[in-house]
Amino acid sequence: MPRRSSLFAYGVTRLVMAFPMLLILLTVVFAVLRIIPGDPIYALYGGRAPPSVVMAQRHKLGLDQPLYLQFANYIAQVFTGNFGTSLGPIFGGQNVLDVIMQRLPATIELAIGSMLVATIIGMSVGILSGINRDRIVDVVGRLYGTIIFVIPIFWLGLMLQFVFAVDLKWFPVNSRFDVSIPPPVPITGLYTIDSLLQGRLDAFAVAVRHLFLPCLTLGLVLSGFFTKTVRANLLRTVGADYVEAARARGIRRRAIVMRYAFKNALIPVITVLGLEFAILFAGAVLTETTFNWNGMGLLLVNSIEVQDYPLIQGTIIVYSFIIVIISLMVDFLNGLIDPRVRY
Amino acid sequence: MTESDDSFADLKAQQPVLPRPFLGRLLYPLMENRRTLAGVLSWIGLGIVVAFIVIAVLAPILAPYPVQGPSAIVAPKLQPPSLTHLMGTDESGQDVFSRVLWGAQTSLEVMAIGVVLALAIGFPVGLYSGYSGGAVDRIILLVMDSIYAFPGLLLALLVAVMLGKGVFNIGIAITVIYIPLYYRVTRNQTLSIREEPYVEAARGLGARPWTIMWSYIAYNVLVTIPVIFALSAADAILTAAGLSFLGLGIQWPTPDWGLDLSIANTFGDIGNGIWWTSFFPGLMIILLTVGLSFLGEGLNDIVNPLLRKERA
Amino acid sequence: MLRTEDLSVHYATSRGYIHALDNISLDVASGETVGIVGETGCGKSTLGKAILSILPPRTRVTGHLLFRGTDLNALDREALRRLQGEEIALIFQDPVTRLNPLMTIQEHFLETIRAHQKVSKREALERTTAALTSMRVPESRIRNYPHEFSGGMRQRIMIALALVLTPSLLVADEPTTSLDVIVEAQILEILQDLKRNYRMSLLLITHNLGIVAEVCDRVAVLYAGKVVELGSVTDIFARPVHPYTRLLLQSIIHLDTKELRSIDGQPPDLLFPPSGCRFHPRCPYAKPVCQEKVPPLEEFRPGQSAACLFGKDFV
Repeated sequence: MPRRSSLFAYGVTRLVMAFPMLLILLTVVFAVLRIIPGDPIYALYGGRAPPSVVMAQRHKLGLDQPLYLQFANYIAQVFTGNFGTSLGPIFGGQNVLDVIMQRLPATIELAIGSMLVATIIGMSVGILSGINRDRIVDVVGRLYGTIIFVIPIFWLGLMLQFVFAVDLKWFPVNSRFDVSIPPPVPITGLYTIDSLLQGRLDAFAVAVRHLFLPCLTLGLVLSGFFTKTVRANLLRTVGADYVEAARARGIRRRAIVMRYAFKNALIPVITVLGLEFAILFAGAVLTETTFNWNGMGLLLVNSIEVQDYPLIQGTIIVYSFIIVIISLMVDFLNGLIDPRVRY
Repeated sequence: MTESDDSFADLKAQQPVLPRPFLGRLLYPLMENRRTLAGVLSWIGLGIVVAFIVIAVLAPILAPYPVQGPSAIVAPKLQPPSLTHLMGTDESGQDVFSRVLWGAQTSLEVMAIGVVLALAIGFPVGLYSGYSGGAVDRIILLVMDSIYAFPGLLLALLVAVMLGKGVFNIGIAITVIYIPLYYRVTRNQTLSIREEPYVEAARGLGARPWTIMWSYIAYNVLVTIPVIFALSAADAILTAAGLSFLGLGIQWPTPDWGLDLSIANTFGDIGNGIWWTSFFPGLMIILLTVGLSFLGEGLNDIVNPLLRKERA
Repeated sequence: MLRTEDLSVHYATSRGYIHALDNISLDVASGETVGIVGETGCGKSTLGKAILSILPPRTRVTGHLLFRGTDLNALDREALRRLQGEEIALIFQDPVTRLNPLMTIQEHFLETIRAHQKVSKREALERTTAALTSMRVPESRIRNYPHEFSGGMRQRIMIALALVLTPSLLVADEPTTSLDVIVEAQILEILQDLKRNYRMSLLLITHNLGIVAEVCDRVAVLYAGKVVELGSVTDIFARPVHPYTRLLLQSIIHLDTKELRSIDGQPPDLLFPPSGCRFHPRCPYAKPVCQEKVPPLEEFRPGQSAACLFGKDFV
């Protein structure tokens, strides 16, 4: 006999299943970085260092050990949070993890803002499209969904910069903050939250102005896929059998839309949100480069420029962790909303 | 089937055992559906893609100015679009229009290497994996799914970093991220076709596994490939552009759309009000991607219902 | 209680209008159980949905649908809504998909009750448990979700949901088709109870002649969207007039059936229904005139009518 769905049990199950996923991602990173031909250390010195120096560095980093030993070390290091020290010119000598953590809040701020934009635009357009099936609004909405997805993020960012920052001068062109006023004291690292926490509305305003265009850029591109999914789900639920049965019982149209169509349509959307996070990170890298946004994405790009091997590896690993955590949260949210999933 | 039948008669004569020829199965629905929305979309898409191929091939002839080397510096830097320079000039004085035309070559090269290689590897492996089943299948599946789980751009980034500069290396990076896709699609199709009666019949008649795989299953799976190919090619263009935007692989002064955007960004062109160095290369990316998307989605709308009807 | 006069329902599709129902005229008296029988695709379900006014948009409805004298086709949306569920209720064929998977059973009931009457939560809960208990659904499971119940249970929940506001007319569209025979017997017993104790009018739509014989007072036989015969259960089963009814009865399998007999041919395409009598392509007694003239519903015996030009030959 079926038993009561337990949210708690479900949560624990998902948590346990997250570990293999994490392991897989970490292995992929390892495979690419160490197995693919190409000597990063050699490249780091621009091919100019004598072989002995290169050998010494390799030994220091443990790169001359057999592969399985390297892997074991790698896993051990990752889980103890030891990502080594940066080799490049900018952050040379600093602990990689520290550097990454400094830049993480910026990316989080960008991510949250973009997700907000994407959700709002995506859901509005999707719902409007679905409700007015096959009319002009719908056609425009569907076209939007298809086209916005193929626009390169960086191009969109540059164009938005041109129109809104240069031409109309509504927003600054790039970076996170102005030099004219002091930034808020870092508590969370998110300029917006920190300014509010300290009651500094001037700083808040500046932070938001700087945040707007990058979030709009990334958000727009993400919303494309959203639109299509929301619309498809809305159409599917509205025609559903239980909606017809509810109508036969005299349930008001508004109640039907809210409790039946809306809520049911949301379920796959939550999953899509989770999937979108992976795209979000790829997009974040591009957006941060375009807007000179000091987040992890820009850090990654900079470290690639200088071939800072530990930093590159560290950044990707942190990205992997974040992806797994987000997947977990999405799964949990899903279980919260849809009781069928809980087994 | 009236005219189409005759034009493929010789193809048919060559392979009497198999279902209708591959090209026939693809082109016939395209012709049939040319008035429907999906059909129109496919034709527009096809047209755009062909146009780009033509541009790439004829770039040396079409481009008004040369694009690499000292002879490329033809005008003062950063001139806005004019009659002599339709799309203006860039930071080094090269003509943007010519660079944009030549850029098609680079993009198509990367796409050709990347996606075609991914198909060439992913398809047979998927076929083999799906057909064999068992432990072999599971292991390959695990590896492929792991790669698939990783965000595309990031993985390509890593690979490109390790491999170093060059168009070819970018191509390989693209290959790596698309192999799992082709593998997956092929494997799924193989799994479902494997259970079809005519495959069982062939097995019963004692055909060798290799023959079954290629003549029967592969042939049928192949029809679904063009759709995936078009759509993943669209995605590949974006990814490749993204990679060169981030400074990987393709180096100056090779003409490449992503690279041009990267340079425009680094030099802060937009901040200085210079839009044409970013606008036009980006526009080309969009057009090519849209063309491939239309082609892919249009084909999808046409081919899928047919497959469903055939299988039902 | 319910009367339809020349009711026609045409669905709009891209290829034209589907003539699901054409000039249907029948009536259900208070406390009476009327069966609607016919093959798949003859318009039975459409009739149920038409009565409940839940047809899809862009459907052409003509004629009169009178419930206690009021024409439902002329009412506005809110007036209709008030009737739906409270005065007229519908039980669907497939219980599996008819409940919202995201709502508990309790929520379904409370929602339905509160959509029509202002009662306190406690009172609503009392009514819910009463309804569920009468359908032999354990009260303890009121907080479960639909997917945690078996098909038979779900159908009982649906019936309870339909009855919780004590409607005067219940339309049951193939209520037992997707259930096993034991559950079917239970449900039929419940329906009979309702008929006896509450004087509720029941319109039972089914293709199963067996349950019609057991439960119904009168029967209407539908074919291709038209009523071909109408009469009391005894008349229809013992003395059928219309050829279709006769063939239908012949095809029922009994213990001593030696030969399987079915009706040749397929039900017609309702996009372009046959001219004249819609049964003429499959009727073994068809004459040329059957293709030209549409037979009206004529009364051949007191209380029994059939739509056949040669009806009196079969009396």
